[in-house]
Amino acid sequence: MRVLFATTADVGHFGPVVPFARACAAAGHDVGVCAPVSFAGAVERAGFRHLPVGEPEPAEIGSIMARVPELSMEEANRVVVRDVSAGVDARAALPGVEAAVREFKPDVVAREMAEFASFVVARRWEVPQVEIAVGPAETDVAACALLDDALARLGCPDDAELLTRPLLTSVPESLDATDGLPARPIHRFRYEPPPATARGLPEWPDSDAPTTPRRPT
Amino acid sequence: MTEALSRVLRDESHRPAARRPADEIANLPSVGESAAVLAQALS
Repeated sequence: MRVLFATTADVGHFGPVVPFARACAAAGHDVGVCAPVSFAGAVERAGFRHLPVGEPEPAEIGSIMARVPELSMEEANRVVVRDVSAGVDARAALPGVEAAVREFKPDVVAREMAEFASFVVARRWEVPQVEIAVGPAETDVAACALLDDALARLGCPDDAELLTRPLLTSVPESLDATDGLPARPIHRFRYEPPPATARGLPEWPDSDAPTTPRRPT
Repeated sequence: MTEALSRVLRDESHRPAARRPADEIANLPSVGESAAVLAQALS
């Protein structure tokens, strides 16, 4: 099976995708990761084949983000989701994702919630899709409510399917309120990161020890 | 004070057992099994 993962250039979004991509690679599947050019290092350090996609010029994204501090929280969220993630980011990524789907020929596309170009392209090519959760499911629903006509402007008039694709998540049900959310298949998994020392990090401090520094006596 | 607070935070006796995230997580399939679930979901 060929699995194409798609992420934005955001460590907080790519991080939750990594265990699922590793699981597919470990099971012998062919894994590729679509991500912006500037994110190549993060993808390759995680051990995956990087399929580069375009990204907006810093000035273009900068002019949008400069407005955000002056907006209400709701309007700021709308600008980031509609105008950045599903706007300039997705528009710049679209040709690269299109090329990746054409050449890599994935059996399935697995996207994280803020990556919209792969949703548009996979839908156009009729490639099955799943979503990897980067947090509680209600975050995804809240983000989709802010899209307005962003996906229509990318050539995808119907974005209702965003919230019906199967969701793979590491969030346990007791922390993931799904009452009132659109019905979709949800597959929950346990993720146990490898020991920090194996990754060259110092051992985690004793979790029962005080978290505040002791005063010298 | 820190020890007392720590003890209170660790005390989950007031929470219904079925709603303890740690217990729930322990019973979930490992993320390593997600590839099989993915393949099955597509077939």
